[in-house]
Amino acid sequence: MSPTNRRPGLACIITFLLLYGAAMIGCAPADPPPPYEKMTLSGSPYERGLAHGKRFSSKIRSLYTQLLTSALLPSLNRERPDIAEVLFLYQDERYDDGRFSYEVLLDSAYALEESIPEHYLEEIRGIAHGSGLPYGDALLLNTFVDSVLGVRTMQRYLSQWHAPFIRSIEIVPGDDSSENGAEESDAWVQDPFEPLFHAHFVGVPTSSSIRIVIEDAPGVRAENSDEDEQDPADEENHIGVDPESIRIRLDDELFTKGDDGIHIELLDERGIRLAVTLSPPGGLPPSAVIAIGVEAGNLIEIHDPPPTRSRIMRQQWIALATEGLDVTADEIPNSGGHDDRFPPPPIAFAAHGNATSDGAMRLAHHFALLDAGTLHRHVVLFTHKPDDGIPHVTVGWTGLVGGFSGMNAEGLVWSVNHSDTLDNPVVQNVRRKLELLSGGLPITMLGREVLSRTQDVDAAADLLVEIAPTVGWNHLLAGPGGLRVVESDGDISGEGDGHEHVYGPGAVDDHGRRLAAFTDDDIRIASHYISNADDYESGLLGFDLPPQRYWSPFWSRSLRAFYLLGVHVSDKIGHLDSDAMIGILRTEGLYDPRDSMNAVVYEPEDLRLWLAAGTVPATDAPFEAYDVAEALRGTQ
Amino acid sequence: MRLESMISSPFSRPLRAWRSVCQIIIAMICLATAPATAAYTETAPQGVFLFENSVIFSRIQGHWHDDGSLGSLLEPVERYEVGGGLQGVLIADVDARFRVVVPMLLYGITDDISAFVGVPVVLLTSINPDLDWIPGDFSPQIGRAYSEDDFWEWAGSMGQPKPGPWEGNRNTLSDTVIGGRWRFSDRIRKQLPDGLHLAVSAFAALPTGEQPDPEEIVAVGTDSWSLHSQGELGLHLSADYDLMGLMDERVLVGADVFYEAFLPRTYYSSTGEIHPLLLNERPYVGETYRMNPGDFAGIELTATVTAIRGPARETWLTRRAPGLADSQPPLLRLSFTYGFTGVMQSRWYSESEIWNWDQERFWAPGYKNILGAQASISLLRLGVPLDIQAGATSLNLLPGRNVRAPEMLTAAVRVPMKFW
Repeated sequence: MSPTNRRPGLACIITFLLLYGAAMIGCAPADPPPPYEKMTLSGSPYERGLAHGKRFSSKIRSLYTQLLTSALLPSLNRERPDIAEVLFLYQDERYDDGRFSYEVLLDSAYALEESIPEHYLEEIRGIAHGSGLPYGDALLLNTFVDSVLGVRTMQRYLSQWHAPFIRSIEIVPGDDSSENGAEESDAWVQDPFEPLFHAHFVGVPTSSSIRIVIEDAPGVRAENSDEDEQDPADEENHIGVDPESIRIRLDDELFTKGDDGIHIELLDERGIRLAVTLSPPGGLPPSAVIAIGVEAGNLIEIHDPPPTRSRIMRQQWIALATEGLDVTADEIPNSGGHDDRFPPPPIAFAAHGNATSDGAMRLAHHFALLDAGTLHRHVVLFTHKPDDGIPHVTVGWTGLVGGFSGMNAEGLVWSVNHSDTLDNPVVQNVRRKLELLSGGLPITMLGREVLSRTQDVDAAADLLVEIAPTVGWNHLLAGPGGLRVVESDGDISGEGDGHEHVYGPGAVDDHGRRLAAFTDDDIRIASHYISNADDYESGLLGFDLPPQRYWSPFWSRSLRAFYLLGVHVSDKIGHLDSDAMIGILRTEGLYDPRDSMNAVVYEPEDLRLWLAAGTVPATDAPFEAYDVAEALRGTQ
Repeated sequence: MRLESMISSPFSRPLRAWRSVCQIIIAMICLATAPATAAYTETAPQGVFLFENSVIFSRIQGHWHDDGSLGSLLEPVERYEVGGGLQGVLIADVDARFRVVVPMLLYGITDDISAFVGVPVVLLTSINPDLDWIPGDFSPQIGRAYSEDDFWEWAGSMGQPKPGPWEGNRNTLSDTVIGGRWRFSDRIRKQLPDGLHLAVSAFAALPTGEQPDPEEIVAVGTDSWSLHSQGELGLHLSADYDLMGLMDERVLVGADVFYEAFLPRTYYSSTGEIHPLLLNERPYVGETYRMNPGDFAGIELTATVTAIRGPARETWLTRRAPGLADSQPPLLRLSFTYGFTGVMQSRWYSESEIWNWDQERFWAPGYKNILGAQASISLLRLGVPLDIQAGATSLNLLPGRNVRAPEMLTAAVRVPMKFW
């Protein structure tokens, strides 16, 4: 008899426990993927693209599917009715069945292909071959940001053209104002209303009311000009400002129809114009800067595409200073008020010399645009070692040849934020061909050109002026030669004014105030033009195309972010180091909690960077150091 | 063995069911055995067939999450508008119901070794996703945050339908189970205390069940992983102990320690054919993907009391064996069960590391805390060779982690048969 037969129970128990123990070893929890990837690319452009495509094949395709197929393309399809109303080409059945956005972006990608240097096209071919993505889709992936921004620029403008707008603003002093020596009331009227970088009125009596006349859009009235043909029962034909949609913010306080302190009066039978009079209970605070936010929609009901909605004007901020505050209007920035619904745009700032704690140069950048719950999971820190050109790093995404910031081996840092402008190739192509085709060099490749071809900020700025961009951009450069901002647009009118909008910390406005700095050693940008404030003013197909500040929904938010950034930078002047800059990037109100994509602090003199990515907002992630010098030497 | 069967997992993944049913059958084999033994170690007498048919009604409305909270069966789906932030979050307040019938046959090879086969059939699965919506960020384009209606209007214009109630798996075979038990304590009787019985059991599931339709958001298959009630290979070590004289009645306690493994499997990914915005992972996941489900390991404890012993009169069943009448199963027994099942990490293997993680984080290591109660009526003492059982099991009463939280009602009848 064998031992097992003598002790069958013991054998069973031992066998069971051995199996049990062995199996339990494999029960460790799964590990999440890294917050971002790192990759070094060398060789010919095609070889670099192929390596990129092979390594990130799935991530490239998931980026394409999740961002484009499932989010951007459906979202952009919504804008077809507005666009096709003006550009009849897009009423063609080729654009039916939800294919509008894909076809438009693909057309635009192939139009941009003509402007893209061959070495980037080779790299894109490599990415396509490596990832299995069709070349057209890989090209689209590398150009969609530029195309979409161009198309969205048109769409944003058209939306505002159809939406209510502020016709005029008037300060109506209270009865006791004249006794206090208040100015004549005609000094407190602005008609027509102008969006300003600074305060609209100063010395406003505290007993004053603010009267704002809001008018339905010229676009809506043009469409409904023949009143005899109007069918009152047809909701589509309802025009006029919707009193229920009026939202007036007085700093943190919100006033809507029916609230104490707000009176809404129709100025005509159909409500095309209405006047909103704001008389805050208790009056305005003395010696204070006041921000007034205005929003309104009209009575139009747009059903296609769903959901049903009206036309909403952009949030417009107005700054006032009340009596007792001894300032001039241009001293008061129109910095708006806090409103969670409108997140800040991307920002960047740089400092060196006396502005930093150790004199070393640093540039901080927080980029936000269109994460859509996807891009933050596809971030890659690429080290590019081209066969010719300067080695460099970019913070980019899988499938894209570049990013929105980077640094080269010469210690030159480039970063960029978009800046709405109608001075762009899409507008030009609409004018010439009645098509939404982009032009110029896509931004990610423009950045690569700067990093691979220039060694100092002056050369970089020259290159940025020389190469036609796709849309409006604000570039911030730091490195040999100091700090520079380049505010670029498409210059489709051929004014050749690009160099006029390259400036450093010393640049001043008409009042002698620095444009974007506190000292000679710091500078900052957001997402609006400062030097290039009159970026464009022209006509197109019967539309008046105004400068950015009149229509861009980003303009007011950008002014606020720029102002808040200034507050925090000025607090730290002389003490700015990487930790302090990271702290500023993490300040609420300075990062977009929805579409944040990455945040970086560059130390060009040490060839090092600190990157936060992989979360939304990116600033919630730890900033991890990356030794660019090591990477460029090939040991990292 | 454990009475833990629960049909869980409504969606494309696991539902699980009938494991205990085979165990119940084994427990019922007390016919003609003298004396009767307890549930975990019972076997059929040599040459006896036992046929059992069980009907299981299961309902699942929640999932125990990693933080210990009881939430939705489906992970919330965040929808973003490019450049416009979060449109909103889709929350599914899922109500999933299952009807399963489990015919089983058990045969006594020897008095201490039995073999069994079970062929579960899902009669119907119905799932009501009852989608809810948490509005997201303010959308400047429409002047408000997207409401639920806004979102589905928007999605509908892109060809994405709102998932509605789903019914399927009508009369669909699940995985067929074969197995056996050896009550080895009979061989070492003299070395053990009176009343203690030990057994080892093993089973394997044959892949006769169906996988869920990859294109359906709210759908579930009928294979073992979909049912998520037992593994595909199981090994159990069990003990029963008779506590004589307690409460003037017989009290049985039992323990069952087990390990059950799943085999890796391959699934097709979704193409977006039905849900172009919500279910379209094929371009980056690949046409198929593999997954290795997390195995189960745990213990179950049962206490059984005799509520009504019943008469010990001679019937046509016991006429030939004087003295056997009193050893027949009690008329009514009540069982109370607690089970703890550790569930190991399930792993996905596709072309997308990100997608793998999105699945894996919902199926991280966890555990089930299972409470059950069962009533068994045996009519043998009355001369009727029929057993009837009714039971209830819940994973809702005690918190679990990273597992479904089903509730289940089971009814079963059993008939012994001897052909030679």
